[in-house]
Amino acid sequence: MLRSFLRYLLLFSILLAATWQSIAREYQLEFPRAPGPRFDNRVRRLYINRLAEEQPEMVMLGDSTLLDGVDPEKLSALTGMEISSFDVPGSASAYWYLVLKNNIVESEHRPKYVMILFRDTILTAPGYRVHGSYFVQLDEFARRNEPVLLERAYMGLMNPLERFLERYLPLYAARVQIRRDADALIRYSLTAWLGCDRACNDKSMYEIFTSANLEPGQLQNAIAAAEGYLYTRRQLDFDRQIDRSFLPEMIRLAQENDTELVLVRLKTLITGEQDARAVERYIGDLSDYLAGENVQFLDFGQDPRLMASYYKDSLHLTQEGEARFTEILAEGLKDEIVLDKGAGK
Amino acid sequence: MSFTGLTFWVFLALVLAAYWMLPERQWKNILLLGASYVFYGWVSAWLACLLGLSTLADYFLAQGMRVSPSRTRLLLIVSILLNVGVLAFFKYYNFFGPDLARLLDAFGIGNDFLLVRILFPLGLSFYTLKKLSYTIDVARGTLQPTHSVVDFALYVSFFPQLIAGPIDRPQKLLPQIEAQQSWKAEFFYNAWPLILMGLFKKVVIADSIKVMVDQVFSLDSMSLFLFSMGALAFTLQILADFSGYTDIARGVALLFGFQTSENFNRPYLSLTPTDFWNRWHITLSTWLRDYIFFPIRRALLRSRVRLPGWLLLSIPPIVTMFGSGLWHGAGWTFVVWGLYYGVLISLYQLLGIRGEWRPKSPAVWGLAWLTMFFLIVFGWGIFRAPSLAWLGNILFNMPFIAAQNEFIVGLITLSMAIVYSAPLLIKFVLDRLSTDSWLHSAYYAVASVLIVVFISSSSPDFIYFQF
Repeated sequence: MLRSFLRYLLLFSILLAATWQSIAREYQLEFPRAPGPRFDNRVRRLYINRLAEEQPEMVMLGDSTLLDGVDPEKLSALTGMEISSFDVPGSASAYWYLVLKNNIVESEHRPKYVMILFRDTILTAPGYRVHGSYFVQLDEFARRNEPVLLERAYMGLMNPLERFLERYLPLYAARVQIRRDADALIRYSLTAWLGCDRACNDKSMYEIFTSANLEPGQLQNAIAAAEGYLYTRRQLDFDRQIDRSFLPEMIRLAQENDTELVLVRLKTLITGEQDARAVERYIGDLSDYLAGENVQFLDFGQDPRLMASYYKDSLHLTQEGEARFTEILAEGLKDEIVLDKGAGK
Repeated sequence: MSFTGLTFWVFLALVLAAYWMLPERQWKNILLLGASYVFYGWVSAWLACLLGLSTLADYFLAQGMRVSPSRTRLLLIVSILLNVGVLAFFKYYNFFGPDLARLLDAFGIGNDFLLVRILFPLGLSFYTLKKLSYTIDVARGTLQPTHSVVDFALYVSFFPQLIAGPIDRPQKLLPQIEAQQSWKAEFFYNAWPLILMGLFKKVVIADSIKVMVDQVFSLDSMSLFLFSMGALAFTLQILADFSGYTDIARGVALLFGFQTSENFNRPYLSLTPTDFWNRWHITLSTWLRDYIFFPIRRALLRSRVRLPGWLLLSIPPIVTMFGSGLWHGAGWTFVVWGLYYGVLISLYQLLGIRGEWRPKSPAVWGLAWLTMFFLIVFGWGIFRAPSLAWLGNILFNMPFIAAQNEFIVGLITLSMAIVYSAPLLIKFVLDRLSTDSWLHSAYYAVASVLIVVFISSSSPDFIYFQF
C-alpha cells in the first residue's frame, strides 16, 4: 500500500514538473509571478465618448436593475437635468469603480453628479461579479496596472494557499484559461463535426439561453443563488468590508475631481434566507458612513410606493414599475439632492 | 463547511492531529463530538442546538425503553413522532406555508408568521434516519442502548457523514465508537484514494456537467431531445456528485479509524428497478427496506383481510418508494419520482423479474440494461424537473426536435456529459483489470492534476445536501 502511494506521488510529481514547463510556455506566464489576473493595457473610451457627445449634468451608473428601473429621458424631463445612463447588465462595484476612474474622471466633460444605483451590500462586495465573463467586462476598462482592483477584487479574497499556488504553480495560475480551453474543445468539437462551426454553436447557445426563455421560477432561483453572495455574514459586516471595498476610492475620486457622488439604494423583492435585521443594520452603518463623508444617499430599499406588482422578478421592474420609480426617484432628487444643491432647475 | 473548501481541510488536519495524540478512547470521542458540532454549527449555531436537543431526546427515550420495557411502545411512538415531526416541519413548512396562509386568510385569521421562510437544517434528513434506526432497534430488542451519551451523540453527529450520509446503522458504527482506536498506516493508505476520487468526481466531473444541466433545466420549455440530453447529463452529474461526497466522507472517516458503509455499487449497470435500488444510495435503500418495506409486507401478510396477490406484491414497494420521494424533498416532482419507482418495482415483480435476475443471453442482458438505463434517466428527468406542470408540458406538448438551435444545444450538453464523465468509465475498466497497478497510480496522478485545474476558491454545495 505504501508502494502504490509512493508510485502515485512519483507520477504526480512528474506530471507537475511537465506542466510547469508546458503551461508556462503555452500561456506565456513567468514564475514566480504576482498572484491575481492580468489585465491588458487597452481601455475602452466608450463613456468618455458618450460624455463628450451627450454633455450630461448627471450620470447614472448601475446594472440591469438600472436599465429596467429608470427611464433616463423621463428622469431628465422631470428633474430638468441632462442625465445619461451608463447601465451595464452584470456590472457591480468593481466595474463602476473602473468606469469612474478610467472614463468619467478622465473625460474632458465631467458631470456634476455621478449617481450609482445599487442594492443592499453590493457597494462593499468587491469580489462580486469579477470572475469568468465578468472579468472580460472589467478588462475592457482596466489598465495593466490596477493595484486597487487587484488587491480588493482578487488578492484580498484569496487565502494564503491560493496566493502561494497562484505565485508558484502554473497549473493553478492558468486554471481559468485551461478550463476555458478544455470546455471550448468539448463544446465545439462534436457540433463542428456535424457542420456547425463556432459561430453557429455560440449563436445556438445565445438564442436558447436568453432570459426570455427561462422558466420564471428557475430565473428567481438563479437570481437568489447569485445574489446570495451579497447576504453572507461577511458581506453584511459593514465595518469589516468598507476598507476592503471600492467605495472609499470612488468617494475620493469623485471629491478630488469636483464630481458629487449620489448613492441610491434600490428596492428588491429577494425573499431568500438573508437576515432582514442584518441588512437594516448594514444600511444604517452605510448611511452613517456616507453622512460622515458628505455623500448624498437616497434609500428606496423599503419604499412602500414600490409595490410587488411593479416587479417582473425579484430585482427588475416592469415598464409600469420603471415609470413609477422614475417619478419617485425624480421626487427624491428634487427634494433631497438637487434642490439642496441648487442645480438642475 | 464544505468538503471542497480549504477551511474544512485545515479543520480536519487539526482535529486529526489532536485525535491521534489523545490516548484515551473517551477523550478521543469527546474531541470528535466537539469537532462534529463545530463542523455542523459553522454556519449557524442554532443548527447545532437543534441537533443536540433532538439527540438528547432520543438518548433518554432509548434509556427509558431499557429502564421500563413495558413503556417501550409508547416511548417508540414518541421518538417516531418527534423525529418525523421535526423532519416534516422543516421539510414542508416552506412548501405548505404560503398555501396555509392563503387558507387562513380566507377565514380572516392572521397568518404573517406562516410566510416567514425557514432555513432547512442541512443533514436533518440523514441524522433523523440514524436516530430512528437506533430507537426502533432498541424497541425491537435487536440493539442494547448505549449508556454513554457521548457515544450516542457521536454516532448521530459523526461529522464525515453528518451532512449527507452514509446512513450507517448503530450496529455498525457504535461498536467502533465504543472500541479503543489506535493509529494504523493502512487507515491512510485506504483513505487517500477515496478522498482523491471523491474530490475528482465532485470538482472535475459533477461541477463541470452541472453548468449545462442547470442551464437546460432553467428553460421554460424545450424539445424532448433537449430534455433527454439534460436528463442524461443530470444522471451522470448526480452519480458523480453524490458518490464523490460519499467517497470523501468514507475516506475522512477512515482517517479516524472508522469503517463506514458503501453507498454505491455501479448503479447504472442495474437490470431491474430493485437491482438499481440495491446499488444506489444503498444505506438509504436498506433503511427503507428494513423499517418501511418489511414491516408493511409483514403487516399485509398477517392481515385478516385477504388481498389479491398482485396487491400484496405492489403495496409495499409503492408505499416505500412514496416515502423515499417524500424524504427526498418537498415537491410533487419528488413524490412522483418516488411513486414512479414504486410502480416500476411492482411491475417488474409482477412480471416475475426480481432484483437478482440475470439473463444468460447477452442480447437479453443488453436489452434489459438499455431499458433500465432509459428508465433511470427518465426518473432523474422527473427528479430534476422544476415542477410537474413543466414536465407535463414537455412530455405532452413539445415535439422531439423543435429547432436546429435546440438540437445543437442538445449535442453540446451530450458532449459535455460524455467527455466529463468518461473518467468514471475509465476507472470502472481499470478496477475490472486489477485492484492496484501503475495504471491506477497514473489515473490518480492525472486526476490530481485535473483537480488543481478545476478547483476554484468557491465551494459549490453537493446536491444531496438539500435532502
